[in-house]
Amino acid sequence: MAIVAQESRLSRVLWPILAWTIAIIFFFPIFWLVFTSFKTDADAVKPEHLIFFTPTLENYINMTENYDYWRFAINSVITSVFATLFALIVGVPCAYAMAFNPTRATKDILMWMLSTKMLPAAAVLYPMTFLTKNFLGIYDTHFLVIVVLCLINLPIVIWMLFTYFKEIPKEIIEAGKMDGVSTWGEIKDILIPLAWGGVASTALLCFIFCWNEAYWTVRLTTTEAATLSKLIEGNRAPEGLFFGRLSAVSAAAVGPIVVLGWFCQKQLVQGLTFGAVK
Amino acid sequence: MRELAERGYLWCIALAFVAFVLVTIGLDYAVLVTAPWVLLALAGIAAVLLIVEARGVALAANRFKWYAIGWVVAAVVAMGLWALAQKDVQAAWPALKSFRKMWNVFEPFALFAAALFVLIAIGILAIGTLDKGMHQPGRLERTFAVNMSAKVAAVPMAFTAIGVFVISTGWTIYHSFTNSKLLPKSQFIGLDQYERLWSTNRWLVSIENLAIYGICMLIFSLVIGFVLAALMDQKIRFESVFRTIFLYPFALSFIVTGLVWQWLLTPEFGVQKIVRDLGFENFTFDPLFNADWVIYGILFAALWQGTGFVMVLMLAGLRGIDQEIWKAARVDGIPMWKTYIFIVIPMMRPVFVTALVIIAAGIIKVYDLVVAQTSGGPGIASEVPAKYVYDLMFGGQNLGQGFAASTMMLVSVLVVLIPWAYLEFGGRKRG
Repeated sequence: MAIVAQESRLSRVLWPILAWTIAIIFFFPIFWLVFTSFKTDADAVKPEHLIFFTPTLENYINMTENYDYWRFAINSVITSVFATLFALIVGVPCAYAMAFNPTRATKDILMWMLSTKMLPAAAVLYPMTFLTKNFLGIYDTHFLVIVVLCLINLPIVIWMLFTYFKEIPKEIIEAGKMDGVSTWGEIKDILIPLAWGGVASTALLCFIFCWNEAYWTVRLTTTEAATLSKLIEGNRAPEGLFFGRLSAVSAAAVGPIVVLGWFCQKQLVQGLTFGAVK
Repeated sequence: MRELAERGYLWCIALAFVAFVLVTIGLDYAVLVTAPWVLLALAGIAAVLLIVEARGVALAANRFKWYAIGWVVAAVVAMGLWALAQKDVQAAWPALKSFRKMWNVFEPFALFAAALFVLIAIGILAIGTLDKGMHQPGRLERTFAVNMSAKVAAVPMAFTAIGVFVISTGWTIYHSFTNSKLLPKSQFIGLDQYERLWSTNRWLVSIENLAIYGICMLIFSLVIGFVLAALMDQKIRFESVFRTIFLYPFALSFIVTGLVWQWLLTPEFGVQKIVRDLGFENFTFDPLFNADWVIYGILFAALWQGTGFVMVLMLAGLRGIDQEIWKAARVDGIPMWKTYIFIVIPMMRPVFVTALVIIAAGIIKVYDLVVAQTSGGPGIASEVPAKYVYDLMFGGQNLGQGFAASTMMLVSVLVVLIPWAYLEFGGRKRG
């Protein structure tokens, strides 16, 4: 809300035009994806049918009937929801401990946690596959996918929560302690309501990451716990084949998250403003 | 001193865990069953030593008796869980058999948990006993028992992070010195895998691609994200609409992003075709089919996907900046762009760090995007290290090479990361 914006008339006309242009560039691929999903495979590769075509639901019907879309979707929902939930259950106490009982080691620990997020997953993928398949017998189960998704997102979750919690005055928490509130009570009744925006935006971000994860889920599942990423991966074909079908699968895979994002984006932006960035 | 002891505490637990998992993975499966007993025996010896050390102070007077009893109860529960997985128990109670798979999953964890809980209980008792004679809580007690719940709460994260990432990574590094092909073996061949790796053209191309992609991605997404945010900050109408549109790509997974941009960049019916239809007959735009440009095609898709999020971060940062600063800058007659570069950006340092961390985490794992967009082609022109590793491990049946490659990735990340991270997070507050 820069006051400087009032300086010139030119900028008042120029900025909106620029913004709309960029917005159209940004939106075009999504528009294209959704459009293509209503075309037949034959129409999809014909440029003359870019905008004018007869819409058909064939792809979506095909998808739900032949590819068992709902099973993949339900798997995605289960794994993402529980992974997010567990990440919060572990992350909130951890961030609480670091934000309100900091020691000189806290920064080191935080940094070390974040660094695990940076390490290449490739180095861990094979041992994990090997271990879960041959020793633990939990390969291709919801349990495994949930644990893995939870783990790979924990560092970001803890770190974001930490930055939000740090904003909350210590005195409030200490006042609670004076009144004899237990640690759990402090977290539940004081901390979470105060940092609600931050917790919500962290959860949303974690959910998006879980939903979109492919490197791990594709490798660690076969059928039982396969998520939507696996469905897309399985439907991928060399250039020019089955575009309509693939578009429908893709659109249906990202659909839920896009709808969720539509409802939550205000929350997300508010949450971000509240913490991480001040 | 207190911090040192605290760190030691975390490290001890972590090390116990490391030892246990190493034993599990590295040695024979049968060892798994005995290892916790070894730990328990050690704990027992430690307990005896500690009691002797405390010269027979009555444990009944221990302040932490109830804590310790709590941990022992937890250990007993864990042992009960372990017992459910035993064949004899299952024979006596056939209903258990239908959940056999679940018990088998719990078995090693339950044993380990039991051993650990007993250790903690003994440790707490010992602390209470040693500190008993003092007028106020002693150093040991302050270190271990004050805010105990908060410290214990932080332990699961330390566990999982160490257990999964560090142990598995160690396993990978270990096996990168072997001649594993289809299955991991333990026959050492020294640095041969690395020599072969660095003489493989495909690997060199991967590294180069990752470098180009990484540097461009960092610079462009920060710059574009900031410029967009500054644009959005100009009291623009329909701001929330723009924000939503910019954020939309972020909700798309990398695979879907890759697919969409693969179609858009295909010459026959993508952007090139559309522009040619508009009348520019000679327009050529086919980055995905040109070995020199393919990585930029991928970069473009990645930017499209990630910039929106960076923008929202930056926008939030800009909103957090005091309006007085703008007024002051205007009064002083500082041009707007100067205000942004010299005043606003330095103030937004934490935002940049946040964005940097999230972008950097995405760069190293770039895989889905490449697979969906080009499958590494044309030829090997758009290979990236993560894909190289993946292909060798799961497609090429050449585990040793894959392990060596992932170790190299690890090393290069560490070389870049550690100094930066220490400067950013560690240095200042240490004092």
